[in-house]
Amino acid sequence: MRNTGIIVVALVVMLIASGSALAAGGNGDLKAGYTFLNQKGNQSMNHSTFNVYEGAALSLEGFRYLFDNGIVARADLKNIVRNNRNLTASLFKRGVFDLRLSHDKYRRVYSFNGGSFTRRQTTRAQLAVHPTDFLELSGGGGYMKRAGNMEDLFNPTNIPEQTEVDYHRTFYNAGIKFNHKDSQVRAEYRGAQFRDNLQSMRDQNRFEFRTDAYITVPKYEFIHLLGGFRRYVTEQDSSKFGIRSNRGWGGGIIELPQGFSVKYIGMLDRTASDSDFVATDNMSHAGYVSYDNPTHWGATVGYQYDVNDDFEDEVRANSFYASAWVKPHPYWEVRAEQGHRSEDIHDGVRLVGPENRQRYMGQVSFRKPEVGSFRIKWDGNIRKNDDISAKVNRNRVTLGGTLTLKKYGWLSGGYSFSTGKYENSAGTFEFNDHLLYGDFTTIEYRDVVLSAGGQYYRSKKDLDVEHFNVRFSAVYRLYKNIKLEAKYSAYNFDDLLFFDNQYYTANIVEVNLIDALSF
Amino acid sequence: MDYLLIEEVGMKNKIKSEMRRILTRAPLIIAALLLFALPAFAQDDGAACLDCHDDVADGLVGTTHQLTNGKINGIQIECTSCHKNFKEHLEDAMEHHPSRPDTLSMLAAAQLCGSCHVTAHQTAMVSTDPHSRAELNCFSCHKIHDNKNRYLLKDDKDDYCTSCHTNVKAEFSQRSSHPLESGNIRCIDCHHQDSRKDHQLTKGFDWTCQECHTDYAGPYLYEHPVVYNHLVNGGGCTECHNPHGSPNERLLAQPGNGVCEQCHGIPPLHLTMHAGLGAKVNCVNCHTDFHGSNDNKYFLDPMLGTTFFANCYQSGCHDNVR
Repeated sequence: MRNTGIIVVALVVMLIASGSALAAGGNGDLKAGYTFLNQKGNQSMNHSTFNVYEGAALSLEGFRYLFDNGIVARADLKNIVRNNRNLTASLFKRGVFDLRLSHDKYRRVYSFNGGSFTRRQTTRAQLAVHPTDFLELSGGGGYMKRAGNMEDLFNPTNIPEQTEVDYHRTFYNAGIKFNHKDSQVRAEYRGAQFRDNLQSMRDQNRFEFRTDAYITVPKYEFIHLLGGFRRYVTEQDSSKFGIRSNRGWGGGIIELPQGFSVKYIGMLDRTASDSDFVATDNMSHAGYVSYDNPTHWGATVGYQYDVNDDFEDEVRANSFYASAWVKPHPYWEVRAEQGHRSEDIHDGVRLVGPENRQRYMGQVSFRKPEVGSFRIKWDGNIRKNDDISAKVNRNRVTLGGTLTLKKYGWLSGGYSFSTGKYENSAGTFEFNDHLLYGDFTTIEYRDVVLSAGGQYYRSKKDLDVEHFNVRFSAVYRLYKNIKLEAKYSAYNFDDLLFFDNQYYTANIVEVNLIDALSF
Repeated sequence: MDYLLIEEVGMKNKIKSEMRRILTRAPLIIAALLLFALPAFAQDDGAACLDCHDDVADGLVGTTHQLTNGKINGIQIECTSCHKNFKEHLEDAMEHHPSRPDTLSMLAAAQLCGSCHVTAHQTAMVSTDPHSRAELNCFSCHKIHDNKNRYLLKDDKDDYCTSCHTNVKAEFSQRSSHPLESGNIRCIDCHHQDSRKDHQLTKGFDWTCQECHTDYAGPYLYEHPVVYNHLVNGGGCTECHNPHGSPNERLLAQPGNGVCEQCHGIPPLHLTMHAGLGAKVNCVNCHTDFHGSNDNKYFLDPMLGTTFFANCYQSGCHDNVR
């Protein structure tokens, strides 16, 4: 309640400020309504409905107000009086200041009847001011709290066992930034305290200092230098055991004639732990060469060399990267990307042995602004640890598109098929997932806008899960800016391998009265 | 003498209290100045471009790119700040068109926008950010004209990134997922595109998870190396959890013991001792503190000897595990 109070006070200040300045104009939707919820089954199964509550709701969405003196106020306050509230507000003036406030609250359900849940709420405030055009000062902070009960996932007795959770985290930051033309230097300090209200020995403190720079070399504007340093400390409050990380990096970008450019980034990092008295060193060198012809094609190739040296082993890795895109026609684009990382255990032994990773992506897309878009994409990744006979292979094909029918409305939809296979010395786990989704919204006709949508998900092979939702809505313009909105949505979840308690069904009806504010 | 000293101390205290009063009120005074005392923006309706394109200026009002009439706080924005070749266009509007920033290369667009917007976001974009490697420019995500969205993004939705990353959108529809669909988190909460961003998007990702899940973060007296492997190129939490969504509970990559067995297999003694009891239960029934332990190096439940296997630690067989 205290946090909500802060937000409300801040909003009142904003509204007072808005009243005392010369109003230039604004708009937003004030929404009041009621949600009816009918659900049965295991409430911990369906993540999408964790934060649906029955009852009255009040929201201010898409509020935006421009004052004559250039100050812009924004607010997006969803479900102000409910436990699933999500409130953001900002006040900014270009080149002068930017104040952002946010508060949200949501829950995660763990038990069949919803009695076991944890609730998380976060409140943040951030202010940036620009005393001059080359200087920015920023600072802010926040508070995050999580409390409730969660159910243990792997319980040998099959009798639900609950664990109480109650902790909070306070955090703050302050920073300074100088910029001149296209060069920038900045520094920032961050701190956070984690306090567990049930086990004080888990309390932690964290600090981070970072500084970095991006400099365009005077008189040689085709050369850009960048670099930085970061120190990160996290320590237990009681034992003072800590992990300390120091990282420095630097590099440059050189723009060459004819659309070519070259990049290099080097990095050194040492992370040391008090608890096991070991330190890990990391070194990385990465270089990229790119060619870019803005309207036709571009390509990038890169190489990275990493060394990871800790107490037990030293691992060296070579990585290669390549990507390219072609626009054979202004509406069409073909894009492909491939990355490969190969490790070598240079010294010592490691439980997982040397690891090889690959990822790849290919995509063909069409985009014509007044008509719509279409995209087909294939992506995947492979991870292999030959020494322990472990392998992961994941692939996914995605089709999606949008269509604008000027006389009727907008249509979007897609289908995704993904496969995963995990192999190890003890067994395998495989899944095949299908996801189908679509939405259609009409243009306003006789003061009515209709929309319908849905999503169907099925996971097969070692799992057998099905869940879907459908939704329909209608908005009727009652009088000038006053609209009546009615929404119906249904959710269904079934785990077909566990018939006893792994199912969920919900029917949700939402009725809202919307006042489209305009000043 | 004493009287004077008391008076001096009193005066000092008074000055201190006055200073404190001013300092505590300073933010309010500054805020008030910012709100009311700054010059107003005026529309540059005299620009030659607006003789023909007056509707374009209207679409910029109230945004970062609202046209200025002269310099406001050191900033001057006019059509030609972004669109070049305007002189030729004025001479022959049909033959010569001013430049369109959205057709520029990644680096050229970053330079153009960077002449005003020098932020950590841009610095990262022109270094090792995956978007820059894929040759996407500022206008792939941002739209300048007729746009009132936050950050001038093409779309104001919290899951805006999924309009390109459609494959990731599918992940959020799986059995367990982070609450993106319900609007409780945004893509940029984890994938920082602002000043908090690492110099590579995925580097140090495990640090990112701890921003919210601090309760599972170390340091621990006995670290599980995979949780805190101190690698800068990923690893950590994402070795066991799929951060967007998973077909399994708690974002786990595999169900049951699969996640543990991916690296550990089934230790041989678990198969042979006590009639293979160790292989018949879930690993985490005994190894409860798998994220890290302050009690023992095998991450065993500190209460194991009194609850589950009452005699194990007292038998003389397993007293060495503690």
